[in-house]
Amino acid sequence: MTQTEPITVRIGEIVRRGEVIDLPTTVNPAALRDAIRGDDSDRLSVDCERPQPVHDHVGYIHTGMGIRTRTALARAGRSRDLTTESDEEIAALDAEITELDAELAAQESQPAAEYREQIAESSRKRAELREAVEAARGRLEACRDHGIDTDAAVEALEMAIRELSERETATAAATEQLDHARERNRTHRDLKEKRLRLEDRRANLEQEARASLVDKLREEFTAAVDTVPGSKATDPFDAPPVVTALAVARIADLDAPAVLDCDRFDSPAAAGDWLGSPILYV
Amino acid sequence: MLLVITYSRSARESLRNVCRAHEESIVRRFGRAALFEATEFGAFQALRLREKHDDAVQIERTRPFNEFAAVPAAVREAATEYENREEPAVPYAAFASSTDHPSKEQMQESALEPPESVGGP
Repeated sequence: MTQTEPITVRIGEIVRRGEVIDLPTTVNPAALRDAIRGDDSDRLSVDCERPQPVHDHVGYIHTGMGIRTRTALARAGRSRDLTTESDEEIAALDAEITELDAELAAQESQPAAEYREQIAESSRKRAELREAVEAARGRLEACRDHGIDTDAAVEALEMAIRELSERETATAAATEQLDHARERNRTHRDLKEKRLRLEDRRANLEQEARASLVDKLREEFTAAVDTVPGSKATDPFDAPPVVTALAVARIADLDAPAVLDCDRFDSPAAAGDWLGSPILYV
Repeated sequence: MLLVITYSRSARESLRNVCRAHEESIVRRFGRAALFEATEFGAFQALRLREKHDDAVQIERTRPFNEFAAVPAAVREAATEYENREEPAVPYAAFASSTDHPSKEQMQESALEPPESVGGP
């Protein structure tokens, strides 16, 4: 137990201090857990050290809970500053990933969708304009064939051609912008791809680290499961969640208190002694 | 077909789920990429993924490759003959230099015929 400052629990007007705090059963234990994690309410607050990751698993021990034994056990090991061979490489990868994230944030990905939409719209219009040019040309020829004055038809044809040419210029510009956007996005994706590889590598190492921590604590955990009050002989990795959580909490070096809502112990003090951790007993 | 490539763990997971749930629309699966059928439903699934994961999902449209329509005979012949060369250690540049085969640089500078002109979109 690294805790030196006593914990302070405030529930409305009631204030309790200590390492092992007995609370009336009317208090909502889940709200206590949330308060420990910093989610205080006006009525309820818990002043304590910041909970470690293992607290996610054993911060609220109650009937009907679930627990991921290996992850919880590995985090209990971390709360005791146990290390593994993978740690150094994990830290190096974290640094690399942070660096990559900065690089990724610095280069915005390009809004290529906008250009795609412009191009699609443009080619639809272009097809229409081409038809309009053909039609105008047809009318001009008809005028000539029938010896009618062609001025209006010539003007209409010229206008249609101009519109088509403007449209073609716009399409070409959008296509060029899309090409540029694709080019820049490719660099962006190269970085993302690299990040993904690093993350995968990190996840593998994390798994190795977890396995190694579980290995280191296996005997201690088995012994802890055996001594949980009222626990029956069982495969320690297949014990009921409350038993598992109590054993993990005993192994862990908890900074923040665990909320205990189970009837395994004769008294809060007995629970505190067995766990060797600060607790809020409901 | 639609080539869907993912660039994050969560996008890859979503792609995996889509592939599992809609096997009939998936032509082929690779690690973090997949080929979706070129149907509106295939596009719907691809677009859903991009909506969810933004630029961690890349969608490209692929087309059947017809080398007889898109690639000049000289290039096809060069590929065939280079792969059947007598001396396995000879790099392509050396292999091509004493023959009529196109150089690497020539080929790099020549874009393929666009697919539209060789069998429609």
